[in-house]
Amino acid sequence: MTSFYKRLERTSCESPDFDTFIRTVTRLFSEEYSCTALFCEIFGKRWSYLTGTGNLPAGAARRETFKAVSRQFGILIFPDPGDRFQWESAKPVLIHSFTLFLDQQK
Amino acid sequence: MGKKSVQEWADDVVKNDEIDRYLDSGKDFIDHEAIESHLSQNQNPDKIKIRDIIQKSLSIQRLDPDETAALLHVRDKELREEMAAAALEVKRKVYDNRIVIFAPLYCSNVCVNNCLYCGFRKDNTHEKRRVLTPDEVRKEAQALVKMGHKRLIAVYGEHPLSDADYMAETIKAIYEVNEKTRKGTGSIRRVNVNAAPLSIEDFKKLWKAGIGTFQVFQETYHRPTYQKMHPTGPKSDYRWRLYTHHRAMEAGIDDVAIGALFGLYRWRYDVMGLLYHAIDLEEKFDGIGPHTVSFPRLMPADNAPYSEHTEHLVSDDDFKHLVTVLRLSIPYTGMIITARERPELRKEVIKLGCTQTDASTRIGLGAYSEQYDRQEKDRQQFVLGDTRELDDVVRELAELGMISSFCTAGYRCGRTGDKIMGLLKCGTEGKFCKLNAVLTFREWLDDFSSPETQKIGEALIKKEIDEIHKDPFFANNPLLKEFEEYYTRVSGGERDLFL
Repeated sequence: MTSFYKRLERTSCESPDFDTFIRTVTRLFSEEYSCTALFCEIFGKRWSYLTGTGNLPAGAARRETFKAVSRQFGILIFPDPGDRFQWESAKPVLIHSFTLFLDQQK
Repeated sequence: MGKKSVQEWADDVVKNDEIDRYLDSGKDFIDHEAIESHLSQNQNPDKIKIRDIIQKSLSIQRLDPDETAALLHVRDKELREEMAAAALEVKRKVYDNRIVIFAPLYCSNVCVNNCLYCGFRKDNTHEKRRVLTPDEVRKEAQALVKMGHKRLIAVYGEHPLSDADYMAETIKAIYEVNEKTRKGTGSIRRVNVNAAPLSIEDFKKLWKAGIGTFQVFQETYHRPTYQKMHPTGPKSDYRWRLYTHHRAMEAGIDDVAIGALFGLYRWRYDVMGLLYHAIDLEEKFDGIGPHTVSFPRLMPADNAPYSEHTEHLVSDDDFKHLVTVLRLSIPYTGMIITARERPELRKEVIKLGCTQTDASTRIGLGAYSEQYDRQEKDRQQFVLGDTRELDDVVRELAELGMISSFCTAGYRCGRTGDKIMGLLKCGTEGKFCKLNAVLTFREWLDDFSSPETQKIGEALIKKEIDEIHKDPFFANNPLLKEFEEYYTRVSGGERDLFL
């Protein structure tokens, strides 16, 4: 596992709350891949932003989706870091973290 | 607790605390005296004032009531032509030359209200009542997808059988549809909803189901006429309806659509009402005005006498003028002309700055999958003026130099509410509109067009791409490279790529 995924995992453990976690993950993407990452919740086909305020190139962003606590989430990443970012390695960490934090919010 | 009767359900619809919270010192935003005063003081506006107002609109600034009242009273033919030209220019600045295409899907025609002009009214015993099951809704959506539609507006009567839970269920059913097409696959990518006013709690259900825009029309802003037209049921509460969009916004639905049914009262009054509505939304929600404005005209309906005997019928000329004034008054908003109007008039009105239209429209319950070839008055809310196929409408628009857009990108890119308002007002959204219109038109031509439409469509798409390449906005803009890559991929059969 490369440093990015280790840092992602550490962020999940060390963040006191959901907002801090998301903010830190966003920073990780910026530092590691020089790209912007935005988290969304998906309702039907609408992507509603959990972070950020929408962004012009969002349509051209790489889109990855995952499910946590029966809710559908997505992450927009732009520009696309390509093979440097392995979604399959990040996905379980995000699902685990989202589940943890969303359960706390209940 | 036992199940509520229909009457008990209807009696519980209106939540007064969800009206009162939006009032200003107990007053709503329709200031009758102010509207009448603006209208009476602007009966003979001078040309200089009108031309100044036109310039303001061309700079994409929303007009004030006094300015709109002045425009409404322009009778001079030459000045009206200047206004019409400006209306089209405003539309081009904000939305480019695309027309978004959609279709209505009627899911239920049961209703607890008694609107005097409507075929669905409770006391109309001629009407065949029906609530489509989610499976039947899915079949309707499949039929529409096979025609080439990507965007629907689902329509519901106000009744416990078609409440917010039912709406959410049917929205989900529509989104599940996926059909093979000539070169790719098709699906409904955006479901808007036209329904009765809901509570904030119910709006949240639609939000979670993935609603696009929530649309409800005030019908008329003139309160005494409203009360006369809507004698019973929850709809008789003028303010409950007036603040529907405020509640939707509070529930998170930041694309809301307003409208008035022209023919119920004086058309100038109701244009002013629409403007006041837009202003109040802007003021209460940080500049977010209505996503679209609609201006249906009263049409004959089965066993609804008022629909044929109104003293306020709007002539074609006045109708064209009111559309022009709306375009100039709220320059950033989308404007919808529908198949209520006959083809020749629709063709004229669309050139006054409309941004959306429906096509291959049927408004009977189950009509797309069961009875596409004819209108049945006893299954419809009113009688349609234009029942042409989607291919015919797309071809006619292309002949007018307008590109049919099946774009649904905005709400998947965060371009809703205040974000889209900002982009619309500065003209940037129109750039996205153009790119996405080309991508979705490419899809549609390859998957659905007739040879005749294909031919004119190819010429149009070439012209559009040439314009994109010449537009300074796209010079050295990474969007252009993305667009070119997407265009190649869509031409190869990939679907639903957007910017």
